[in-house]
Amino acid sequence: MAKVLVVTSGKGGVGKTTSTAALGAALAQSGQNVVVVDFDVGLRNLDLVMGAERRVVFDLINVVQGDARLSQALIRDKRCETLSILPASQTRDKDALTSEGVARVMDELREKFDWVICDSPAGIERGAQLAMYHADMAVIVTNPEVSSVRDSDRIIGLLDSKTKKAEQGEKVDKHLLLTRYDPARAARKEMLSVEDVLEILSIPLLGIVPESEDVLKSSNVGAPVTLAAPASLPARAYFEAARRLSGEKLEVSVPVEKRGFFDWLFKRDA
Amino acid sequence: MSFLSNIFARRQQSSSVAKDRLQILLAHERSAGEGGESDLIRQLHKEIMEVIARHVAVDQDKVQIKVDRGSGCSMLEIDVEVPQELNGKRGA
Repeated sequence: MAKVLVVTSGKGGVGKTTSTAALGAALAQSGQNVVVVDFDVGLRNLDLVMGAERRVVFDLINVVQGDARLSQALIRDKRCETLSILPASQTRDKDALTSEGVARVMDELREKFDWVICDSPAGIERGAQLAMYHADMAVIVTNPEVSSVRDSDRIIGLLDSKTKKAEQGEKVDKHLLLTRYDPARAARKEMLSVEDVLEILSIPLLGIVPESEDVLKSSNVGAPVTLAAPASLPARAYFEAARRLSGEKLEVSVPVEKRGFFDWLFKRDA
Repeated sequence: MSFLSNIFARRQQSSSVAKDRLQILLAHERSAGEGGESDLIRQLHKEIMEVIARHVAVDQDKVQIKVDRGSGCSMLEIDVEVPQELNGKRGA
């Protein structure tokens, strides 16, 4: 049974696209068939972060409007054959997405894949609501920072009221992914801690992704961090988060760099 | 943070300020709710302000309106803070 997962946050720039790519690649590497779908019409970036920007011919809107078949628009990742991307349009405006068209495409994707991961645009407007409408599960990407936490709270409210599941009287399965976390600053009480954010938002924790250079390095070269630097701290956090999404019960820990001799040697090579 | 500032500046940590501010704000925003209910509260707030303003000058934020939805009964709470000078005037 396919799972539709929306990666959302309300606030922009907190790591939705990075997390979509990283979680998608992590799930795909475990052998499951995964498609990542960019819903950010007009400001598409998932293709760029995944390194597929020069392979885009047709996009989500072409498929929604019936100008292209789904199979023509899907791009298969060159590094991981169980991973595909459905890009957004860069030129059209977001009103080109119709609710009926999106519903049809989502049904078709559910038949082809084990995971359909929707990268939501920022905001709480129509685009974000279309991205979350069909979701069975939601990953709410939050930075330990006041505006991000507030916006996440709004998005949780929308997930509980404006989704198909909510309309049917069911609940979208919500998970918190705390990104750009700095354990040292949280320890010095200069940053909201994991416990603070969990207490405020009260949804289960999927993972803690530390602030890391590896994330930018990976997007520079157009690869999800779970493909480009699988041994890095953020990648390990995403791999564990992906296992939790698949139903494994794993303790969430704050990721910290071990400073052993072998790690030092390893880092040299990386 | 330096050793000295740890000893001398026993200020409140910024993360706990952030947490407190968020908790107060979100309690307010959640009670306002989505869609219909927040519209109702906005409308009530506006009209109550208009009535009060005919008689006394009251600040926008001195009028608090809250709806608590319970399973048995719901409560509409209207909290108006009246300025000091009014008490004196009416008493005289």
